[in-house]
Amino acid sequence: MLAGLLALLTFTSALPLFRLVERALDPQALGWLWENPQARRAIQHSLRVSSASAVLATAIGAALVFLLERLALPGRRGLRLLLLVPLVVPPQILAIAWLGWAGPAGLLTRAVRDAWALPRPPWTLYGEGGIVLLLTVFALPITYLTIGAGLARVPRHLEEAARLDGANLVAVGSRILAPLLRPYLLAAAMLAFLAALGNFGIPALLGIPARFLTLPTLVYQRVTSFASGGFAQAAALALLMAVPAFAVLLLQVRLNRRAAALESQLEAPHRYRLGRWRWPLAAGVWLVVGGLMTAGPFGSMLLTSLTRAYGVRPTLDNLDLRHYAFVLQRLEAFPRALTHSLLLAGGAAAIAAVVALALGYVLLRFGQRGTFLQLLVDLPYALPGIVFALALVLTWLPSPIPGLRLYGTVWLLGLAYVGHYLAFALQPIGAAWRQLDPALEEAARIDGAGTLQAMRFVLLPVMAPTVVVAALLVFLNAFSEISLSALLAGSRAETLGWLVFGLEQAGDTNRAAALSVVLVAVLGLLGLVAATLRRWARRDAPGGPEAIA
Amino acid sequence: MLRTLALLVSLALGLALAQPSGTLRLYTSQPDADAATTKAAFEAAYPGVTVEVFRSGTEQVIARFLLETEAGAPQADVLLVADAPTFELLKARGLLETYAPAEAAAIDAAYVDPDGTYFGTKILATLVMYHTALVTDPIGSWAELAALPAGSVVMPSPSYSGAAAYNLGVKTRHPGLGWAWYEALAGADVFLTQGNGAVLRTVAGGERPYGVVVDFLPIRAALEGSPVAVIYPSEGVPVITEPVGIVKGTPNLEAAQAFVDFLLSAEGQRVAVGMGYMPLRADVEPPAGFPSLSDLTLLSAAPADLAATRDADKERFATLFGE
Repeated sequence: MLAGLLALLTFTSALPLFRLVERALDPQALGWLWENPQARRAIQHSLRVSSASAVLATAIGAALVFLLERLALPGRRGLRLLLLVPLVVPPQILAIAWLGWAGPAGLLTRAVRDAWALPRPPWTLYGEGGIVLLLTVFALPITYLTIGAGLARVPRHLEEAARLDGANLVAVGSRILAPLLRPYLLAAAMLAFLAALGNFGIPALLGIPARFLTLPTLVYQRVTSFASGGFAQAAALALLMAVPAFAVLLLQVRLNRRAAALESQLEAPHRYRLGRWRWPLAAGVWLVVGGLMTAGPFGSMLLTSLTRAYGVRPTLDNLDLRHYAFVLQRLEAFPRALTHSLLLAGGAAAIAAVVALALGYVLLRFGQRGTFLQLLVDLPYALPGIVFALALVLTWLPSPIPGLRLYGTVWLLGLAYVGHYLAFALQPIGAAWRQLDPALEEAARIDGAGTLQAMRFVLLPVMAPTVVVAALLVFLNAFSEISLSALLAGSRAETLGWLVFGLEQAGDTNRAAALSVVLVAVLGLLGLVAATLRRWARRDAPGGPEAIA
Repeated sequence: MLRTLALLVSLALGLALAQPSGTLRLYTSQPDADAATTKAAFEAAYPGVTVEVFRSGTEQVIARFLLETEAGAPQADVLLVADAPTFELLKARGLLETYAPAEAAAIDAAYVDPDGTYFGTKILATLVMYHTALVTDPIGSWAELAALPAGSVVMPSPSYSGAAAYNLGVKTRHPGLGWAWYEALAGADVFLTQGNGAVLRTVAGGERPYGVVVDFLPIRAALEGSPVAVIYPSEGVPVITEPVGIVKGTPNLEAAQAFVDFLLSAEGQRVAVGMGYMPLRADVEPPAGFPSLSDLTLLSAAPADLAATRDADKERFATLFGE
């Protein structure tokens, strides 16, 4: 198993990273990095916005998990679904949707200005504040799912005991849940930090106008500048991005060793009744999550996709379906891109989840010696997409395996997705492995089970829900991926994210919005099918969790 | 008689042999729909050839192409991207094939590389656009644009947009504008975007009244009903030509040359007009909303000079605007 993992990591991570380092170790590029004030500013900015948004996303994510998973809040199922929407929308599109909502000429901004007769917009999305806000929104589904997976494992009796002893909700949250959930909170914060650090779409749209440079925007600038040595400079910058990623990782490894073990819970979670606070609280959460964060920006996007041309007032005569007609009928690449995205995202999700399951187990056994392995997994995720894509091009052109041509095919995209999203899958799965009581496996061994048997009959059933969540996370993200596709997709190897990117870049905002709406609709449909299947499976299985509860 | 017949047969054979065929790999920055139209029109004119398109932003296309050539395996036969200075850089590295297309005679020599490595295919002028509800009395020149109150203008940043980098080179060389013009804009809280599409969005959405943008975007948008209009500034407009060039060492030189011939022919130029671009040939009518070629005042500079100072210009811009 270890040999297989190492072989895979060689191609998804070690070899591309080696090529990148090789390129970065160029005296001129390193000199540029040392002297250039832009680079220094970009580093500071990136660290600032990434840590701010990671802290915010984790705090808000934890609060929302508590609200939706522990309290009997009306309409929590719908809220949970709404929270996940930013996950499936490419960051560029997320930023455009928010600009249409809260940008200088956005619907919300105009309404507020009209209501208070303000001469100028009272806030701006451009610059540091806006970037932090959007990176937080972008990372919220990630932190929510990660922390939620942890909460599902907290034994009911611990909370009940505390309640019997007279602890109120706040005390249960801060004294019982928070310490138990610490590894999950950390995993969430780390994922959010890395996601924010490597994000290009949001700072590109909100940072460049305000001249707020971040590492990914600078990398992009260097890659695409025709300046001789631009690649080397980009590679050197990319290496620099590995430093904070490395620091976060070491911190996490250190803290994980002190974490408590939790078993997977089979009983249904306890939900606290809220009494008269029920409705005001629900209304507040709905207003923020449903209204401000979802209906507003995505309603603006829907409106854009239906409006005849950009900037036209959305009155009834100006609304029609022409952009949908274009996307569905005239965009020749659309059916191909849809197929590719479904297959690539599905394949990458399945492979990444299975590999992460094995990796998590190996890392657990390795302890501290696994740090290097962990780094190999995390770096491709921490690097901005365009850099990882470049590294893959450097690796596969010419091909390191004679006779095998991946460059320019969808297979290279598949490899890129697996490499990039492996860290994404490993976070929840790794956390679950660490929480698993070692006694479980030991008991199986004492009963005479071999490694595989213990895996098959004892560990896998316990891990299965987390693996499914991880696969789902990867699928949702990969389905609308843009950065890697922008460089690696090719002739007849298109993906949906790449099409959105092309339309957006060509100034076809309305069509890009229409395609994004189609994209979200497809994902919504898939989600519905999955949920229905799950309900069916549960109904048919007599000994299922429902029966126990 | 027999000799004539033999001659005719060999001629016909020769023609059949010369008929380009096989696969042509095109790297382009044309928008998806336009790239598909170009492919379809060319394949209809040359039924033996299948075009494979790789389409992305100019920057991605060139980054990918340069990487491929560095690795010794360029995957493109023809390039159709942004501007002449980009091709100058490729030419300087010896990456382009020379060619003397007969159709080039119908095109102003200014739009064609005298060494025959690249050829303009259309006119993309950079002009001023404005929001029709926010501006009642539009300005008429570049000079007036820089004198507008702070917070009025949006334009693409040369650090990210190839067309904007071209404009930077041309305008800073123009005696009436120069760096002083950019300094004035820098002092007037100008809003920089990553590309031209975002300029259109910013003006059409009413965030800023004026924008500096490539012509076809606002002209198309206005035809579709967007509240925008364009101004051709009195000093003239910088023009990029989306040149086409043949990759050195291409395995399908014949098809690549046929592609260049096609884009420069009257038929190929009409295809560009059909997509809403201004043609380069005087004998082809521009689409609705565009001036005729002869009415256009150009701001220009030698592509080789522009290519030579491009990096330094961009650096100076980035410092000036605090990017």
